[in-house]
Amino acid sequence: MNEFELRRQLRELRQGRKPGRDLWAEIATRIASEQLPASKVPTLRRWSGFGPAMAASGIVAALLLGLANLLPAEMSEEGLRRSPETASMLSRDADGLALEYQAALTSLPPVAVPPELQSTLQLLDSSAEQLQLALRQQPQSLFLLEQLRRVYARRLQLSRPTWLS
Amino acid sequence: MRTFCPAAITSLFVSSLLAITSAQASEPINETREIATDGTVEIENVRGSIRVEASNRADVVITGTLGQGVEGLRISGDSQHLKIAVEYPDSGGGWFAGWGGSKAESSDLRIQLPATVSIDVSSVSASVEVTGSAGKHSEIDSVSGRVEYTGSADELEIETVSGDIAVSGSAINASLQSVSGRMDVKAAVTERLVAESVSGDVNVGAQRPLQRLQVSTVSGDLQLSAPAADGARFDIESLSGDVLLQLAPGTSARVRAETFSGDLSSDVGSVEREEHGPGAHLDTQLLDGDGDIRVESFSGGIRVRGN
Repeated sequence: MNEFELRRQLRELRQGRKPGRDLWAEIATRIASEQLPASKVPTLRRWSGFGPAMAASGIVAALLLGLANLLPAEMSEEGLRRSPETASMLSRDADGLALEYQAALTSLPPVAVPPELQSTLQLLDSSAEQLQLALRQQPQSLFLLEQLRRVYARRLQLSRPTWLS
Repeated sequence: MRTFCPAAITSLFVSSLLAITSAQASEPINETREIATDGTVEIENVRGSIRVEASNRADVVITGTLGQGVEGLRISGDSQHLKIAVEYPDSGGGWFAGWGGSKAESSDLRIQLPATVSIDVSSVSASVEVTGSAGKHSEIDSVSGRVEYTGSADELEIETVSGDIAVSGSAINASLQSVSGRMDVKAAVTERLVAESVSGDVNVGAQRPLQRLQVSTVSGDLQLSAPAADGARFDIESLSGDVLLQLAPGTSARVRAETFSGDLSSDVGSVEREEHGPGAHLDTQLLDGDGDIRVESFSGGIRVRGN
């Protein structure tokens, strides 16, 4: 069974049912109360034991190499797509990816960004935000996660001192 | 694909064949060097233009103009790997000094070389035009300079930040990447074509049946017309960009398309829409269905035109 077939079967399980009352206020309250503090957001497994500097350089390298490096070695892309836990696992990886990206970005020495490049960096930041929002709505989407990985990688690439100083 | 590496670009190439011509004023270039038929020519110019042309000669002919204030033209290496670089004064502003910080004028390079030679071209804002090159490997990196490629390398790699990319000619494998540059691809790629952008539009009009097509954009629009080879696999993805896929006559593939919140229309198969909320999907088979064509978008519209 591939991703499309899985989604089709999931759709077939749906049955329209109208709630007897407006549930949104209660849902919104619960979402707000279940927000994880930043320190409890899951981090990527691979770099958990590294020091900040090593982790930052490792993250840059991994982000540049590809998403496959962030996923468990024993699980292929197809395996992930087939897994019923795909959505929650990819969601965790997206959160971890964002955290590690921020760590890598802040670890870079401050360098003046040429005006010619500023709009590109803003574009990449904006694209990353859009992808994060989309992933919250469609957490099972591997392609969105891969796009996010590529945007982060390019952002770090263009922020490195070898580029700018 | 290798990553952008300006540090490598700026590193000096140690060699016994070294020539530097400095430019006190704008001055012409006229140099000739030997090159092996399977050799590689590496070319760097920050701003101005780079033209690479295949010729019937057995050597490399370097002509053009050095801009005033440029430190010089450095030619180094040997007949297996020749490096030609316009050097800018070190103003302490790093790689981008040559773009915005340096007062040196732009330089124009014209490189004529045997068609079988591989090329490795680096630019910041210089436009790059490659014609007739047919070496094993053509690699072009640019920041904002436009890249036009009309050659037939086995392996083609082009990467820009904001520079547009236009490719025609042919390749076995081609990988094109840009952040915001527009891509126009009218090449005969036989095996694998990868085109990835963030906000740049991507327009692919493949001239021959493709085995593998990977096109991805965050917010750019995609227009794709590519015949699918037997057993081909196409993966087309966008976050918010619209996708127009034109299926070629005789396409034999399973065609699947899905959008989370965008619109989906198709000349083939039957589009199924979500009962509650936005989103739609398509899953149909054309002929024997031995290929696999998959289109996914989050909020962009998808249009599949039939054959």
